[in-house]
Amino acid sequence: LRQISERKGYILFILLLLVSLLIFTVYFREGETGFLRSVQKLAFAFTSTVQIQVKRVVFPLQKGWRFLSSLGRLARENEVLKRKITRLELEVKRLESLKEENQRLKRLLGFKKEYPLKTVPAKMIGASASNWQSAILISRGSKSGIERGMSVVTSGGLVGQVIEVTQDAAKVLLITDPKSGVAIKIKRTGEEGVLKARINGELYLKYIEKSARVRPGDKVYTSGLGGVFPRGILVGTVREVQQPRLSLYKKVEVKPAVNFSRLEEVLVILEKSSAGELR
Amino acid sequence: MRVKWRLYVWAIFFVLLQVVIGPYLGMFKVLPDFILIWVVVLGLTEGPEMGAKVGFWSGLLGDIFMGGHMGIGAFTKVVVGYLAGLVRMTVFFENIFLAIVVVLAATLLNDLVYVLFMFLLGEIISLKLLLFKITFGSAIYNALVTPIVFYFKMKLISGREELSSIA
Repeated sequence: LRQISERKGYILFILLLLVSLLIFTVYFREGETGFLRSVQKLAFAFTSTVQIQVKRVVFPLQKGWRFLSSLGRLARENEVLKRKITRLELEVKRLESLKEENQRLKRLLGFKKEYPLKTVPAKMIGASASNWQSAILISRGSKSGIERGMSVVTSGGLVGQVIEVTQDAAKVLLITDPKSGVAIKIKRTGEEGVLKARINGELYLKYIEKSARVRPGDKVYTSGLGGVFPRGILVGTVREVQQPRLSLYKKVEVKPAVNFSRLEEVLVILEKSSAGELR
Repeated sequence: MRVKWRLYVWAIFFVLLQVVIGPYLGMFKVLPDFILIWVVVLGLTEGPEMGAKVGFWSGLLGDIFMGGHMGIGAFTKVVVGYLAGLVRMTVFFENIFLAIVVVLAATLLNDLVYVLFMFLLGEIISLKLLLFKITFGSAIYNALVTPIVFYFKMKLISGREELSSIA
C-alpha cells in the first residue's frame, strides 16, 4: 500500500513539474496581451492598491526609525554641512554671475531654448518582493499618461524604465536589475557601450574596447541608441577600470548616479526614447 | 481522505505576506522568502505529495503576484516541497533544527534551479555572485524565520485540525 502511495506521489510530482514547464513555455511564447500576462496585470493592480495603503501605514514608522537611528550621524553631519554652506554660498554667487553671462551668450548666439521634456512626478509606493528583481512601484499610472517603456529619472539621474502599468500605479525596472540594459556614452571620451547590472545590483559597462581611454571619475550618460532611453541622462560615474589579460574589452565598474536605497520621488518622462534630449 | 484546503488558503496568506510586507523586511539587501519556507515546512510535516501540491499552488501564486516569468516559481517550489517531503520519510520531522537545515538547503536548491531557468532564457548569472551576495544571505534569513513558520504550522494549524478531527 505504501509503495502505491509513493508511486502516486512520484507521478503527481512529475505531472506538476510538467504543468509548470507548460505554463513557463506558454508565458514565454504568448504576447503582451496573452492570458497569463493579463492575469499578472490583474494581480499587479490588486497588490499595488494594497501596497499604497500599506505604505501609508509603514512610511511614518520608517521615517521615525530612520530618524532615531541617525541621531549621532546627524550631529556630525551638521558640523560638516555648516562648513559646506559657507563654501556653497560663495559658489552660488559665482554661478549666478556665470548664469547671467551664459544667458546673454545664448541669446547672442541664437541658441534655441532647451527642449522641455514632459514629465510627471510620482512617489515610490513599494518595492519588488523578490530577491531576483530590482523594481519599484510608483504612485502614478495610465491615468497620468504613463505607458510601458517610458523612462524614469530623479534629479540625480536615470532610475529605470516602466515595465507594467495599471490605472493608478506602475512598476519600474531599475537599471540595477540584471535584465536591464542601457545604451551609454562616456562623455569625456565619446566611447559607447552598454550598462548592465550584476545580480547584486552592481553596475558595469560592456563592450568598452581595450583602446578606450576611460578612467575613474568619467561621467556616463545615456546615448539614446536603441531608442529605449532619451539621450543625455546621467547614469553614473566610472568607479574602476581594469584590463583583463585575455579579454578584448575593458572591465569598467560604474557607481550609479542615483542612490537607489533612498528613492522616494521620481519623474516619469512622458515622451518615449528619442523624443528629447536632457543635456 | 480529508482535503487539507486550509493549507492552500494559508499559502495565499504567505504569498500576500511576501508581496506586501516582504519588501519592508530587507536586511543586507536580501529578503526572506516566506513562500519557500511555507512550502518546505509543509513538505516536512505533511509529506512529499502535499509538499509538491502546495508548492505548485504557492509557487504559481508567487509568479502571478510578484511578476517575472510565470512557471519558474511553481517549478522550483514543487521541487523543494517534494524533496522536503522525502526528508520527512527518512528522519524524525518534528525537529525544529531539521526544518532549519532543510530550509537552508532548499534555498540553495531553489536559487540553483532558478539560475538554470535564467540560463535557458539566455540570462547568464554569475554563480559566485549569486551564492555570496544573495543565496547565503537569504538562506540564513529564511532559516531565522523558519522557527516562527514551523511553530505556526505545528501549533496553530495542525493543532486546530487535530481538534476538529476529534470533534
